[in-house]
Amino acid sequence: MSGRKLTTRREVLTLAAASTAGAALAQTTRAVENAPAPVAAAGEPPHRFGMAIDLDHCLRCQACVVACAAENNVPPLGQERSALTRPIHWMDMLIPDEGSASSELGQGPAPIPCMHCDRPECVKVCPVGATYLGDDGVVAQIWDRCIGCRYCMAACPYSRRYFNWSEPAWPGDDPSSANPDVALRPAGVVEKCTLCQHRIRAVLERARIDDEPVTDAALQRLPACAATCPARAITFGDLADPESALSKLAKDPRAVQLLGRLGTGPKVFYLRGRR
Amino acid sequence: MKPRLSVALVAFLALLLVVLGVGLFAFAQQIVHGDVVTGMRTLGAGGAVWGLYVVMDGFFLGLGVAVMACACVARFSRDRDTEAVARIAMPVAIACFLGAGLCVLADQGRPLAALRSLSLFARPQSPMFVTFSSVGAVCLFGSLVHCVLARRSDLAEYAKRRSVWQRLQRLLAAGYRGSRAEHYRRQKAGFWMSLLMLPALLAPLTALAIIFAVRPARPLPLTLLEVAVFILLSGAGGMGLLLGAAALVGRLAGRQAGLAARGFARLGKALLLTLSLSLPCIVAAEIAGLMSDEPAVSAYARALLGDVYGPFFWAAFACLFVAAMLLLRGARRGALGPRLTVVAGVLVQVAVLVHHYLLLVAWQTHGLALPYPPGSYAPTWIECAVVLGILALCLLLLLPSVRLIPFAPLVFEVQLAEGKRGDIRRTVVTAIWFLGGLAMAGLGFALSARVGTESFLDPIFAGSPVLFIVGLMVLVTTGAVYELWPESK
Repeated sequence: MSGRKLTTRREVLTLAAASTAGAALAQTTRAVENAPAPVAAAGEPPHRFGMAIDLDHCLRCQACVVACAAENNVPPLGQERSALTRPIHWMDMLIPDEGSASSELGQGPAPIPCMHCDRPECVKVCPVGATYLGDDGVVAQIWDRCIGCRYCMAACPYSRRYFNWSEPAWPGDDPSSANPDVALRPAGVVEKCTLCQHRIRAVLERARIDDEPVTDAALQRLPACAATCPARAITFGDLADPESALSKLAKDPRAVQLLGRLGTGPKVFYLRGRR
Repeated sequence: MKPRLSVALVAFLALLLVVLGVGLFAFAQQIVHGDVVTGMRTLGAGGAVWGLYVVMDGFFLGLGVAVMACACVARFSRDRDTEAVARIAMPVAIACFLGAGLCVLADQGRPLAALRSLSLFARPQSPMFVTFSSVGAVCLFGSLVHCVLARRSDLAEYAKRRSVWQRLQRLLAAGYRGSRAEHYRRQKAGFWMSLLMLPALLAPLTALAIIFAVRPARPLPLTLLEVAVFILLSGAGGMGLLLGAAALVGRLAGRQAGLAARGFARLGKALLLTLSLSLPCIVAAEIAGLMSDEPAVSAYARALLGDVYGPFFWAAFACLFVAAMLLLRGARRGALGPRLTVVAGVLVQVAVLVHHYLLLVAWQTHGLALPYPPGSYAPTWIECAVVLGILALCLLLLLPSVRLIPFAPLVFEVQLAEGKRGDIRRTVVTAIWFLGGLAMAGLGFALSARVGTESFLDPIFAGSPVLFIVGLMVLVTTGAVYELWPESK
C-alpha cells in the first residue's frame, strides 16, 4: 500500500472483500489438498477388502489386540487412564455381559475390529465427511477433518469407534518409536480400525510398480492382527476376488456376520460352531 | 429517562458474571485437558459419548423453536392479547437458540476445527447439517430480524426518549414514519415471515429429534413414537417457558408489558392439548420398547423403569401428569389463571429436561446392540459449570436487549391499514431478493450434497455449506427488504 492510509470507505470495503476472498480461496485449496486419495488406480478393478475370524481357531490370547495397537500408534493407557474407562482398542475383545443375551458369536470372548460395513452408519451420519467408504471397501477416517462430535460413535451398532478423550500420552513423553506410516491422532478426534490401510496401499503400490497382479497369498496375513495371530485364525483378503481364501470362507456354512440383520453389510465374517 | 439499577438487579448481574466466569474457566479446563474432564466415556466400555451438552442442546433448541413458533402464530392474529406473546417470546427464543448453539460447540472435541470443517465440508446427508445450518441462519438470525421488524414502531417511539440505547434504537428504527402504508407493509411482512418461519423452525427440531431417537436396532414404530414425543414435549416445554417469562415480565415491567389473563388461559389450553397428546405417546413408546424382540431395545426399555433410571422416568411422568391435571381442572372451572399455568409450565419444563436426558443417555448405557456390560453416566462439575455459564451468558445478553427493546408496547396496530397500490418496484426488488436467496440456498445445498462423487465424500466445492447458510439468511431477510425499501415518489 506504499504507506498510504486508507481514506475512503470504498477502499476499506475493497480491502476487506479481497482479504475475505483470499482467505476463502486458501481454505478451499487446503481442503482439496486434504481430500482422501483413491486407493485403486484408474482402470484397476475395485477391491472389497474384508476379514474372516475363525473363532474355533482363536486362542483368545489377544496378540491381535497388542499388535494392532503397536502398528497403528495407539498409545498405552496406563493404570490411571484405564481406571477412567476411556480405552482405545481398534481391535478389541468382546466379552459379553453375563446377564445379557448372547450375540451371534456366543457367550465367549471374541476379537472384534471395525466391521467395515458396505452400508456404514458412521459414514451416513458424519456431518463433515471425515469418515468415508473408500473404493477399496475400507471405512477410513480423515483425522484432520474430524470435529469430534462423536455422532459416528453413537450410530455404529458395534461401538467400534474410539474418541481421543485427551492428548495421547507416550511412555517418557516420546512418540519417536511410533510407526512412521501411521499418523498420530490429536485429542478430540474419533479414530478406528483402518484394516492397516497403509499396508494395503504399500502392497498395491508395489504390485503396480512391478506390473504384477496382487496375489491372495500376499494379502491373507497383511494386517498386523492377521500377521501376528499365532493360530492363523484371522484371514484377510479381497471379497471382490471370488477365488480368494476370504471369499471362500465367507461362503462357509460356519460363517456369520455380526448383527447382519441390521442390514449394514459387515465385511468381517466370523466362523464358528461346527468344527 | 435515566435507567436505574436496583440493588437486587445489580446482585443478580454480579451473580451471572461470576457464573459466567466459572463457566469460562471450566471450558478452558476442557480445552486444555481434553474431554477427559467430562463424565463422558467410551461406548461399550461403561460410558456414554453424549451427555449433558447434547441434552441441553436439545432442551434449548426445543424451547427456542416452540417459543418462536408461538410468536409466529401470535403474529397471525392481530389481537392485543396474543400480540404480547410475540413481544415476549422473540427475545426469549433468541436467547434459547444462542444457548443451543453454544452447547453444541462445547460438546465438540475440537470446537474451532468444528467451525472450519462444518463451513467447508458439511454434508446434508447428515441430520446434523439441518440443525447447525438452520439454528444459525434461520432460528437465530431469522428470529433477530423478525424481532426487530416486529418492534420497529415501538423502537421509533422509544428512540425519542433519552437513554444510553437511544442511538441504537434510532438506527434500528431508521426510516420509520408510522404511515398507514408502512403499517400495512409491516403487517404483511410479519405475516409472511411468520408463515415461512414455521416450517423452517420445525426442520431443525425434527432433525434433532431424529438424532436423539434413531438408534441401531431400534424398530421404526418406537423411533417414530420417540420422535413425536420429543417434538411434542419440546413444544410443551416452550409453552411452559413462555408462561413463566410472561409472568415475570408482567411482574417486573408492569401489567401493560405482560400478558393479559386471557393470553395465559389460551397458552394454558394449548399446553394442555400438547400434554394430552404427549402422555399417551410416552406410554405407547415404553410398551413398544418392552415388547420388542430386539434384546437391546427391551433392555433399554427395562432400564427406563428399573433401579437406575426408574425414579427419573416416573418423576418426569408424574410432573407431566400433574401439570395436565392442573390445567384440566383449571380449564373446566374456567380459571386458567397466571399462577396455575405458570406452575404447570415449570413442572413441564422439569419433565422435558429429564425426558431428554433419559432418551439420550439410557440407550447408551443400557441399550447397545452388542451385549456389552451396562454403563453409567454422571456429568462432572466441568460440564455443569459450562452449561450454567452458557445460561448466564444468554441471560446477560437478554438483559440489555430488554433495555434496548423494552417489553412494554407503545404502539398498537390492530387495524390492518390499506396499502399503497402499484408499488411495483418494491415487489420486484423483494421478489428478486427472495429468488436470489432461494437460488443461493439451493445451489449451496446441491453442492454440499456431493451428488455423483461416488464413494468419496468430498464436496464439489469446499465452502458450499456457507453458500447455503448465506442463502438462508438472505431468505429470512426478505421481509425486511419489503418493509424497508424506500417508497417510490
